Amino acid sequence: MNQQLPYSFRQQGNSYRFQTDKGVYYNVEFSEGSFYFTAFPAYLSIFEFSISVITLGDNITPPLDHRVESTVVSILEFFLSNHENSIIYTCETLDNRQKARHRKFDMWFNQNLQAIPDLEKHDAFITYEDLEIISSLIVHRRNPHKDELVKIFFDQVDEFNKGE
Amino acid sequence: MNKKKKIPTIHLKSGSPLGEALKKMVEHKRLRERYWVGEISLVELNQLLKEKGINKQYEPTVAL
Repeated sequence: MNQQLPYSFRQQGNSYRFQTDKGVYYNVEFSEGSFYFTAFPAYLSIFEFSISVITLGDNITPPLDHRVESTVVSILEFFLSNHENSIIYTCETLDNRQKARHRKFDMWFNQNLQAIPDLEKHDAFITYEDLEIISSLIVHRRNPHKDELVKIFFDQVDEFNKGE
Repeated sequence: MNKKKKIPTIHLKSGSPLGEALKKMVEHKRLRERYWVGEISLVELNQLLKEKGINKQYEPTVAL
């Protein structure tokens, strides 16, 4: 079990930023899903989750640093302490490294499970038109809409597909 | 013991609300990355988001 001390992070709206001791600046952002999930009930609080490097400092690539993963997991936990929030994470397919990205995120999540016992992660490989993505839904066990969110994520809600 | 978890595959029908949402999400992500690497300006990013029906507009980044 990996239990590295998280870096302290700064919240700015739905963005969380932190700097590593190697000088890399990260941004973890939760974008409102209402930009995308227009066909779903408004009471479902779905957010898109993304991690990006803002500055690399003196590094050419982000150096391996286990404190980054524990910080990201801490931010996830903090964000989902509002139990109604849920997160959808997609791994990009543009450079065909989506499986590697998913494995990495999965490893981060599983290695920090002890710190986040109330979070559930559901994964799916989704194909739609020319899109092939690996996507994850992260939801708090006490989210009152958990079952509905899981059904939507696995495309089991027929009423949204009527009228095609 | 760690078991290798099999990820279920879902093939979404054309016009699926979930598919449309994920498509927009990926488009947004790609545009945002193009902005971050300096390929497009903030004005272009906001314009492209609008064109793709993504109701999100960015403001100039505040200094870190």
